[in-house]
Amino acid sequence: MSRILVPVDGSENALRAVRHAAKLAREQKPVEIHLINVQPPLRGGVTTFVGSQTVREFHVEEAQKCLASAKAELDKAGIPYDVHICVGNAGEQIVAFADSLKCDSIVMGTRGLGGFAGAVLGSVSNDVIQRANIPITLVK
Amino acid sequence: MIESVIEHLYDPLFWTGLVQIIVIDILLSGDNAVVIALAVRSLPPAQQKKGIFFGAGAAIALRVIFATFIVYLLQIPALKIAGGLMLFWIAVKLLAPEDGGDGENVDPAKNLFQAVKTIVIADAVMSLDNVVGIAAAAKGNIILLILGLLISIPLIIYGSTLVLKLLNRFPIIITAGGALLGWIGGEIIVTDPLLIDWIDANAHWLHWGGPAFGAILVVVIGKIVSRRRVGAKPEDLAATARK
Repeated sequence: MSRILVPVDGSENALRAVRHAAKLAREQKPVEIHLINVQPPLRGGVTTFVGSQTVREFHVEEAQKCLASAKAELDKAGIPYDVHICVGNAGEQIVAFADSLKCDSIVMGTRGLGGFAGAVLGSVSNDVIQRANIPITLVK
Repeated sequence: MIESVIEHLYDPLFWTGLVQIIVIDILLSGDNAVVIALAVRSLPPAQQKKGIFFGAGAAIALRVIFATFIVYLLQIPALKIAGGLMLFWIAVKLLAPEDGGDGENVDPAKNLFQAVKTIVIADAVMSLDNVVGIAAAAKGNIILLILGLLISIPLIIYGSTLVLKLLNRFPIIITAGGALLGWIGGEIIVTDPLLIDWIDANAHWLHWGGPAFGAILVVVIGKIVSRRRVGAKPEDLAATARK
């Protein structure tokens, strides 16, 4: 059983990674797909004034929006999956979840910036590559 | 009035000021929008609209009041220095946000009044940051100040998750914005009436050295402070959502 973590953010790049994971699931069963969406934390100023329950609901709601296209894609293909939602730094959380879920690999989309542009604009895939110690497939 | 507006269009300082103000608005108005969106969540849809209307209205009114005061205050000796130091602090807070974590133990608003109360209190705190930034960047130019306030309005009303996503996608905006606030902070400190004569006579280089020092100072402090913060522990919100 191979367990794949697929981080998604609702973008077309992420959807390509989902399709690739779905292809792996069809071709080399059994594969267990775990979708994950990492929400940016609200800034301290905001959480001072709004209750914790509301903040959680907000994060889950926003995350569901980001997950919708990926879930639809896998539902259509009839591939089972698990969903995870968390809040924090994307790269850090993706690797932490890959670790705690004991995933064998990470399949993720990339904006394909890399190099200088990636360093300046901030690349989640670069960050994950640096932190993770399991195989990573970047889908472009 | 019209002539003075046209004059501005040819003034490069006006345009740099305007760009600075737009960046400050984007960085420091988004949180108001998020608070408004969150505070009205628990209300029925018809009341949500009212809540957003009153909440955004209050945010704008508070900005106008603060801006009027601050423009006058910045003319008093020593207060520009205080304003500059405050901008340093705002910039560091921007670069190294406190981890909001789970938020305080506040119950969701049960009615429109509670929601608007939450919004107004939050607005009062968060508008001040924005207005100090705008007023300092406007350098006493009233047209720039008004434009700065006008530009922040759509961001407060429609900006909620847009700004959040933008900043998350391009964290460089936060670093650049922090540096900008530090630069402006340094700029208004060296032009304080207490210092300006001495600087003009003895240390003219401080006109660029002060702002540059301010920019570098806040970015370095911001990086150090945010590095010290421990990352959030991984917690699966999907699990609690399913229960």
